[in-house]
Formats: sequence, C-alpha cells, structure tokens
Amino acid sequence: MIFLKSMLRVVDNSGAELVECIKVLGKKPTNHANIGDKVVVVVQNAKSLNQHLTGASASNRVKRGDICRAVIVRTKSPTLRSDGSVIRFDDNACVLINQKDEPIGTRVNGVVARELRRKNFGKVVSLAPRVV
Amino acid sequence: MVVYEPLPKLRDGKPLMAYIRQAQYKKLDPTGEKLKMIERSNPERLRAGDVVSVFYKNQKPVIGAILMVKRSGVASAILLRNKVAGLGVEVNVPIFNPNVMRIDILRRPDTYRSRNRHYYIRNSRLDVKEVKL
Repeated sequence: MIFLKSMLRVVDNSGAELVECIKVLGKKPTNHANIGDKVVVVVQNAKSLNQHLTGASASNRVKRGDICRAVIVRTKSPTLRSDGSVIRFDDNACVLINQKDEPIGTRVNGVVARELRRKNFGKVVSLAPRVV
Repeated sequence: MVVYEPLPKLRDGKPLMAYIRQAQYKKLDPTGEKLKMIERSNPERLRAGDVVSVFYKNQKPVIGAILMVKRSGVASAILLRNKVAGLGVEVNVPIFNPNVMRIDILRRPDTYRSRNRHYYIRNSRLDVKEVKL
C-alpha cells in the first residue's frame, strides 16, 4: 500500500537512499501501489557524490530533489499469492528505473519479491541476491 | 387421507457442516497427517516457537520460526518469520495446500514462550534469528 507521501527505501546503487512517492502510475481508481507497480518518486536522501566514481555508475547517479520512476520490490502490507500464501516484509523498498522500465543502478541489494518477474521486471530479479 | 412414508434422511442424518468438513479433509488430506500436525491433542503438534521448513512440490522450501498457528479447518495456516539478509520476512503458509508436501520441524525451543501467537516478538530483542537449511 504505497501512495502519495509514502517513504521508500532504495535498494540499488543509484545513490538514492530514501525517496518519497508522489504519484502511483496506472492504478486508477484505486490509488495505491503494491509489489511490481510503478511509482513516481522524489529523492529525499542521497549519498554524497564520490569524485572517484567512473563509468556507468557515475553517470547514472541521482541527487537530492531529483524526480524519477521506481518499481516497488518489497512492501510491509501483506501480498496475496496465487497459491493462497501471503508474504510481507519489514520495510517498503523500491528500485529506481528509467522511462523504459530498466533499472538505473547496476546492482540490487537485499531481497526482492518473486512477483516482479511476472510483471516484466526480470532484470531487477536477476540482479537481486535473494528472491523470496 | 394418504399417509406417505417418511423421506430417507439426507447424508444418513449427519449435520451438513460436519459432512462438508469430512469431505474436504478426505480430498485435501487423505492420510490425516496434516490435520494431526495442528491438532491440540497431539503433543508433537506444531507450536509457535518451532523452527520448521515447508517443502513444496513445485517451489523451493520455505524456512522460518512459527509465529502462530491458525486453526480453521482446511484453511488452517502457519505464519513463518525469518530474517533474510537482516530483513524480516513473513510468509503465511496454508498447510492444506495440495502443493505442500511435508513440514519438517528443524528445532524446538527448550521452553515455549507465553501466548499462542508471538506477534509481540517482532522487532524486539526476542525476534527470530536468521535460519538457513
């Protein structure tokens, strides 16, 4: 249940640490996002830019105040699965993506939910070290 | 005046809900193993605090400590909590799901905590530790 003003943890190496949801995409009239849904976020907290970074990870860095898209990878709210089981995590987390639904960062830390693969975010799932 | 024979009783006079429940158990749990696992009269039953692994036919096993056992017929479920890379993950497993093959108890605590539902251990110092196979 991610909606306007929800704060999300970012679990990739794009540089953002904490983002705030400002729009849920493609969910009208119910305006809350679950795992695998896309949202528009504004970066509230970002890691300070390291001068020594080079290559793709340096050009894809985001700063505080940047507006970008993200996909939800974990929610505190329980998610029902087709086999009747229910999964919930201890935090709300997202991965930043671009307009073509590709992740901005090159790495994903921590666990992500299996539902992402069905929603065409196989790249995020393959980058993640653990899938639950 | 015509007096008819009384109609034969449906289901041999068995109450409807008892009949339905028995039919459900017969379909989803023919061996009676799963029902025995949650029956209160069974001293070896699943209890909150046990560390278990649930083996499926079609997916990887789920491991965790039981937070609660929900007893409601064939909708009975166990709530498993585990830590994955430091993050708490909870999975509610309906045990009469035909894809659940078996539930193994990996560890039992020396002394059980009070209460049947251990919601209060979330994010406290009593919280579950990371469990792996």
